[in-house]
Amino acid sequence: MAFLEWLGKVIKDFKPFDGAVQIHITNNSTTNTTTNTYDGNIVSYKNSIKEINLAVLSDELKKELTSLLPSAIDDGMILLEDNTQKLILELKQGEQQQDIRIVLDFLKPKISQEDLNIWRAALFMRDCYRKNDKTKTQRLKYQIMQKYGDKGRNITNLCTAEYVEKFLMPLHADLAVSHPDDAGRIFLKFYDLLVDKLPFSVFVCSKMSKIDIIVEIEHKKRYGVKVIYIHGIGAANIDKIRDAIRDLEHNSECEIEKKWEEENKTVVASIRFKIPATKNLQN
Amino acid sequence: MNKVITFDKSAKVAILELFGKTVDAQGYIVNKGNSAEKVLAADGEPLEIAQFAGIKKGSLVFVKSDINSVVSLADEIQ
Repeated sequence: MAFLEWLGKVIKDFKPFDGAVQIHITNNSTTNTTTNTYDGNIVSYKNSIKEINLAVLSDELKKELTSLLPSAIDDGMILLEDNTQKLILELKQGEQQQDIRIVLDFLKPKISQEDLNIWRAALFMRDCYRKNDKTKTQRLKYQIMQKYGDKGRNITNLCTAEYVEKFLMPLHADLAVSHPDDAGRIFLKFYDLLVDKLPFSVFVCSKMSKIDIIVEIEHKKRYGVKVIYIHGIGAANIDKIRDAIRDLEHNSECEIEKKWEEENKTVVASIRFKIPATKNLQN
Repeated sequence: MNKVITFDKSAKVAILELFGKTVDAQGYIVNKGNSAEKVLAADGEPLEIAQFAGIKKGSLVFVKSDINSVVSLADEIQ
């Protein structure tokens, strides 16, 4: 007996070829099985959803299910927890949004599948952040960092600060004109450096002190970049960035030109060092 | 019929049992006959019951509930 046949045997009015039919499994011993039941095993509800309650499934049917379910999976069926299915639907709906679509369409032909997946996760996280869902944003960021380490953290930060839209897209457009035959390779070189090392960006988090910010900026100067962007969210981080730049202005041996853009407790400060770059990123 | 069969939290352990798995004292999914043998997720990491989100094709691939697994899985689902 195949799995579909078995479902027909245990589920009332089961229509295997109706695409809307959804099978759901529960294990709820408190379910009232006297309503809408069939052989006391299946509770059918919400029309298209048919539920198998393992708690009340007979031993014989459970044994049959045990032997049939693995082969159903082999035939391409997927068993998925409700919350995960919901997350997949949210992700897919989000990816229909124009702002996300534009970024993914731009990145897809240019970067590896693994990196694209990190960006997909990061864009989903950014969407939660923009909807002010702090708990979910933090959980998603943690999961991305847990799997992809520093690169995952860098991409989530770059994504939230819209580096694809504000930096990578214009860069690629410029390269397509200036290096028409080699734009893809040069772009990828810049991209890899950006996501691996953040050569011209400092993302300030609550754990960083003013000194940490200064050390990080001094470290970035080693890449020879002329401008460093410092990003921070929240009043405390913004204050630390302001103090760090003030200290740099007083103590640095080179002259600093600064720009400060603040909106909704988010700041992007850029500082330009007036000593020429010692190292060219394109080399 | 939709090719995805969903389940709720209450059915996690019972579903694993249908596949000959159980949960050890530390919360990891293990083989019923050999509790020292931890079940690995697609990323090669031992899988905790709290992270167990499903099973898919490929000599039974156990799916994690984190966003990275969701992104990989999203294209497989209509």
